[in-house]
Amino acid sequence: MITINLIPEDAKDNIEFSKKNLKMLKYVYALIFLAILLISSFAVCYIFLSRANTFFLAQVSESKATIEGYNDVLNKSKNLEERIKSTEKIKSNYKYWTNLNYILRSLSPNGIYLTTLVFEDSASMSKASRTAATQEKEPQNMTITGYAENKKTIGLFRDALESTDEIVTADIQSISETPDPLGGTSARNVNLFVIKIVLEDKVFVSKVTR
Amino acid sequence: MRKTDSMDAISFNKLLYVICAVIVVVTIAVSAYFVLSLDAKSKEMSMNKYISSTNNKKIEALATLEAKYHSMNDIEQRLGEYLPQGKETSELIRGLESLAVEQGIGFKAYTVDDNKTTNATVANGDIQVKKIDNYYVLPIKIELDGSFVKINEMMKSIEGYNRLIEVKQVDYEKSMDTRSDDVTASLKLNVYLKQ
Repeated sequence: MITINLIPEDAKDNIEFSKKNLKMLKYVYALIFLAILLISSFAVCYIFLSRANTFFLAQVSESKATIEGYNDVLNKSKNLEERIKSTEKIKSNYKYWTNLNYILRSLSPNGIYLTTLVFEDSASMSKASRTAATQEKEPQNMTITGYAENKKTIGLFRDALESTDEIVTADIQSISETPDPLGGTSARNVNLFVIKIVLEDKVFVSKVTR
Repeated sequence: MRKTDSMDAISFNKLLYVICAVIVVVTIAVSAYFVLSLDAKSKEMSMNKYISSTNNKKIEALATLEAKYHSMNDIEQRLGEYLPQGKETSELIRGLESLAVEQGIGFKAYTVDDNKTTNATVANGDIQVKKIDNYYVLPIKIELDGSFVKINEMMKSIEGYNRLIEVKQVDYEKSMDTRSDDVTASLKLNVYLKQ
């Protein structure tokens, strides 16, 4: 059996493309739907993130304001901390003289009197030794000046100084004869001496808890 | 006419392809924009969340600090007297004099010692006060008249005084009266301040 299609070629193409177009239209709708779905989900995410961001931004500005409210306390606390640190620093090098005075008083033989007790000031020490003195509590150098009736007494005083646990070394720096400053016009000569001692730091530790 | 209809179907088909292509391109472009925006937004949000959380921790710490600070009011007050900001000279002299009276010794003289030390600088235009490290010192010299024991007691009182004062140097001068045990002691003192 022979089938004869009498439809013209143009009409045939038209029918074929129309069928294709119908199918294609369905794909286009599907594509539009998918595109809208995709873009919508992105938009929803964006809106969600924006809102969350706005929430956190508000929290940040609120917390900043709260922190600024604490500035006064913070400054006062810093000031107090600085003051405590300064006090501790001063106290770490603080010298309590009482023990030293009693030691020198008990060791001074008759015929001797002291005129000056002076520390080798930290200002005259090198920076390195000053740091060491603060950190490691190194022994302290001190110069003792006084008058003695005779040179033998000075020697005895030096020996007595060195025999104590609190004094590391005691060295006579100088002795010179000079008129007795208390003798008035009929002044006899006395011996002006300078002794340099090195003290253990424990001498200056207070017996009182502060 | 038929020819035209046939052409229309083919053109419509082409148009559909173009529409598809446009949709795909637009979708990709919009998606790319959103991906980049979301990434930036997400980073911004994470940063703000982190800052917010850090700030909340700071607030907690500051609240603790505030409570601790208020509990230290007493210490602050005592420290204010112990290491004052000003020289408060008249109060200082009154205090030293009352200590001398307590020990029964004479408070003969008070002078501000203007010996310059090499590591000190003049503080805030106050020529009497010197800055050493992060604190200030008012160097003074006082002269006391009394027995060695009483002067030693006076030094002990200075060490325990409610203001931070340190004895830096002691000079003794024996009394001209040979029967007396009294000495005149010159004490070089550092009065500490926190300016």
